[in-house]
Amino acid sequence: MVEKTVGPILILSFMVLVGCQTIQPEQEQEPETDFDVAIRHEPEVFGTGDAESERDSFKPDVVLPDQVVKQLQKEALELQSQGRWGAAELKLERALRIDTQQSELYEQLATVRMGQSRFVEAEQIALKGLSIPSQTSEQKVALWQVIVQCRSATGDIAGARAARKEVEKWQ
Amino acid sequence: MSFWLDSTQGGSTLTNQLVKNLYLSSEKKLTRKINEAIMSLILEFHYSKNEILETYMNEVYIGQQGARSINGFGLGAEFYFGTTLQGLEIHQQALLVGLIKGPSFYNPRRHPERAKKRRDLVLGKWHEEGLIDEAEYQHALAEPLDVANKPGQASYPAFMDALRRQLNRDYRKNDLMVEGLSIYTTLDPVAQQALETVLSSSVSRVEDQYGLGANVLEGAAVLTRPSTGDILAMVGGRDAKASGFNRALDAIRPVGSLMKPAVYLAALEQGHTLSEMISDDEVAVSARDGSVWSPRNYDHESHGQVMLLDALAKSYNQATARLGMQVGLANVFDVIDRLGVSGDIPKVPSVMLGAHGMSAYQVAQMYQTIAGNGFYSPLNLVRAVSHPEYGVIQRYALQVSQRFEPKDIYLLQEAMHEVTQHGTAARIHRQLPPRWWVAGKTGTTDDNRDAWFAGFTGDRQLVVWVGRDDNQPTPLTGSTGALPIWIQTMKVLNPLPERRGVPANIVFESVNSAGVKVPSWCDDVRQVPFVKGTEPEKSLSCSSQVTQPRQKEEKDKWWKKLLGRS
Repeated sequence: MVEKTVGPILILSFMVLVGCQTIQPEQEQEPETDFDVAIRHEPEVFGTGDAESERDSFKPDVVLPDQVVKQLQKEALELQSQGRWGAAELKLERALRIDTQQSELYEQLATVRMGQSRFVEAEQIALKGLSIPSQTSEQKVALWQVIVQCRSATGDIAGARAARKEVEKWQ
Repeated sequence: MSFWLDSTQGGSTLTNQLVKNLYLSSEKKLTRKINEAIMSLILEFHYSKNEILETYMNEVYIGQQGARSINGFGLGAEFYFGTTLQGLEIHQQALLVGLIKGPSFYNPRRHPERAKKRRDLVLGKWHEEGLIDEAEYQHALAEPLDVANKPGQASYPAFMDALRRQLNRDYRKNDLMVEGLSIYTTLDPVAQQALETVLSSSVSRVEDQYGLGANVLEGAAVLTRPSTGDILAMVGGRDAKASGFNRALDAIRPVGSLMKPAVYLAALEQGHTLSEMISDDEVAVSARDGSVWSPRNYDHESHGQVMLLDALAKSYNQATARLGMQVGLANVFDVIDRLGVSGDIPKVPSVMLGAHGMSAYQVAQMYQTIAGNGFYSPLNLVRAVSHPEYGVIQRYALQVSQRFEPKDIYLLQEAMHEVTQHGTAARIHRQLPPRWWVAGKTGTTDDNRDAWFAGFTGDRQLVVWVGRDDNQPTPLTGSTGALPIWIQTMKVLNPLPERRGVPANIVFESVNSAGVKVPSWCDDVRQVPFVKGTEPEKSLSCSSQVTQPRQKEEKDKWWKKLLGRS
């Protein structure tokens, strides 16, 4: 009985809401155009984001994957300076799909995640950067510094202290 | 009001039908009918008739292909006529409209006469209403049904099936069907095409080679990008265009030796080294229930004392089972779990040799963690979801989570590289350019029922399975059945070689066949990687197994003598 009485009322309320707006956009800090630009238009300029495709699409004397990565990094940096973290993240992920072996990219991406207050993810990204062999001491210091900040931000004092020791070790 | 277009069933309007399909069940109750009426009123209050009609046309059920329902005129056009909605002629449009009343009853493939009658009825109505002129009407009536012989196939059915499952996990069905979402996927169409072609031709060639007859073998494959966990291509069967059983996701088959890396990784984590010797003699393990598990090597021979490196490279079952028992089953299962193997894996020793079943997708997830340098990233098919009004509503950002120490993973990767150089997958060494650094593992199950290969190079990982749907034996091993597909696909994809470095705490030492450190100028020495501090002791000669007493021990003795200690 109760179900039969309440049912239509609930459904009525639900439908009013549904009618107004079926999908609420999730937390998205960036203007929607950031994604559209990256997905729909930029490949015409920078290729699909895959190193293989880059190699096929461009003659080596025109644009090299390294140059594409550097350009994406630069653009991401500009977006970071404007606080447009989501758009910067997109650029860096594309750069990582082209070159997985640059620890600077991981450091920059980890910094972006910190900017988004995603500290646990930022730490993991920095650790992944550290797992790449043949990086310089400066790069290690930068990555460990990110980890110090992430751990401090999440209240992991002992972890931050251990990370700080790594910073000192490589300085 | 809501009665703007009558339907022929039970006095329902088109809006009623839409409400029922989207929000309610089809149960025949008065309460449902009342709800339907109220919701229809609300829907018509909020949306224009054109919007409701458009939604209805995008959502209406119009046919069935196996387990997949065909909804909407766009998909219907593809399914029945193999073309787009825009490409339909008048008589084809009329058939689609006519089908709504009963897609099964008027199925043009099964009941063409019934379908034609229905189509002509719709054409007659249109002519009556003045939607088409006399000439168009007569021309359309004279046309045959024009239905494509085979149902129009969605491209990449295995990938799309996996995509649908991921989206169903994250979104409500209604939103997916109605909201006009744009889905940006990780699919690499070029790689997908290559994988489909290579798998299909290789399976046929192997059938010919072994005289198995046509269409006996099946296959599945999953191609991923290890750095991100993106799925780039997926094939669910040798006929990659056919939808239906998606073997890449749903064929749960024993994985055999593909599980061995988990045993060796557990051993490396505990401080074992790759040059350590282990007995490959017959082994028997008693289970709690009193049963005895005694695995045998594939060649039914024991190989005496072997290095861990060779035991993995040559896929020795006996040595691996012995190592696993030394390391401890709990530790091996912990590693399996951290590698990202989902599902219900029985906690029995035979799991170490892959007696349990997994799908190619699950194997790809497990190997993803190894190829990703010890970082787990969930396999992913979606890059972003965009809403026509709100823009991007969800992004699937890069996720990484460290599960293993880089040093342990590095050693395991080197051992898996050895598999491709001198082990069961040495075909790679012979057939691919030497500059390619490849690591992987073959898998063959009892009576050769399943042939597997999982491996990675550059930033590409590919898992291949070949076997029979009826689970009957084949003459194939992982090396002869699945590996050629892997090699051929990688040749086509030609991934950029990885700049592979060495972690700071890893050193390479020259060791002889007894796993003892010897000078590098000795014959038959191999360079084996070690974590610093775990290097083997030095031998007195090139061939000797007797190691030189450590200088440190000598000094200890001298100090002990000085201090008067024995």
